[in-house]
Amino acid sequence: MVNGKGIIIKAENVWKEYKRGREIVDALRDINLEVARGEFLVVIGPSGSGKTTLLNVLSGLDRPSKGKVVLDDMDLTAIDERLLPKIRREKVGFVFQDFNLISNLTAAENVMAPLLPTDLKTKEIERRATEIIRLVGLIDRKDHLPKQLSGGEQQRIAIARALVNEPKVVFADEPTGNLDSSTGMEIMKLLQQLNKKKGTTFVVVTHDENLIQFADRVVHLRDGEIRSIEDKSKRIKR
Amino acid sequence: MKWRILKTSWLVSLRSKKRLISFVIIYGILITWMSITLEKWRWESIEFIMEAGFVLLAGSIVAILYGFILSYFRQIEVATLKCLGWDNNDIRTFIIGEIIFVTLLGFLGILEISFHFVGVLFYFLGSSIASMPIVQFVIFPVNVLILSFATIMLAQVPGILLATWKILTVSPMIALRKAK
Repeated sequence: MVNGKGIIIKAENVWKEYKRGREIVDALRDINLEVARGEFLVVIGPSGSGKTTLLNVLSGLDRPSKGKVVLDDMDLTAIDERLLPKIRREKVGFVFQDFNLISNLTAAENVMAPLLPTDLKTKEIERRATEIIRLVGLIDRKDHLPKQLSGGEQQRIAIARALVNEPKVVFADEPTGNLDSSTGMEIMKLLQQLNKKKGTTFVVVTHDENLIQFADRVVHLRDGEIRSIEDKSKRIKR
Repeated sequence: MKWRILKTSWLVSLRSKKRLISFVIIYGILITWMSITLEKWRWESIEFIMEAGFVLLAGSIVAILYGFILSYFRQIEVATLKCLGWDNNDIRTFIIGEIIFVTLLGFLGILEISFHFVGVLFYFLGSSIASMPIVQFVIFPVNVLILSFATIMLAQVPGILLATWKILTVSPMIALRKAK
């Protein structure tokens, strides 16, 4: 156990193989990893080291070729594929490098999107969206379309969208990759604040060494293997 | 809850102005063409059957084109929605809602134009317009218009099937791969 509060993600002997022509490539090799509840984990490695594959597998977007992934006590490798959207809706949030906001929806409508298929009342969805947009500091921009927002603002809205369903874990794939360095730092500070304030677990995948400073632990990945795990913080989790 | 998804799909199509206007005009033309064809209803006439079949084929081609545009150029959007927890049924509702909405707008547009056209003629020329060929051309009996709309809706089936098939094959993972 990583800390006293328990494990939210557990990967056991995870392998991921891809076919490239006739060749079989190991994108992930024997990954064993535990992520604690409320932890801020950064996975770092060069391009092609398997970071995004690891994020796909840990979040249930992809299945490992071998091994087991458990997310919040649910074995994602054994679960019926039809249940995965529900798990994503209830337990997981995503932040993308390109923000991936729906271009024809306003900031508030984008934030509400994950909750549209749920049984929640529309009023409740609007309330939650407004609250989270206020939390990321963009309440006065909520009726703007993505093209009317700066890159940093779009990423803030994307973060609000990832958190609106109150997920257990947020997976962020190169969240600062399309931002200038100072905006990138602001976004990382925001993620860290939200991690502290809401107790949400964050798994951030990046190649940027500057982001290590925000992590509780850093996983160094190379050629699909975990080379080392660095404990950056001894802080007690909520 | 599907109602909210439908409403969102209508919002999205209303804000995609270029695509919306082009396809509303195309569907409007198709519905008019089908109405003209249906007015000449003669089952025994091979010409009627051929013309009606041709309009249906044109409607299907337009629907396939629209379905292709919706599903192919919006793969990242679909993948993102899947990452956010939308299942295939939710996304199908989203896309079908958009196709039906645009067809309905084409139908309503034709109704609107017809009424205004006849209104303007009546204002300037009075009741004598009833016998004018142009008015005969514009005013279709309600049953013909509704049948035309239903036929064009039927022609949407291949487009809807294509769009939903494409959507089912979109992996949510491509949302993360875009920039790589």
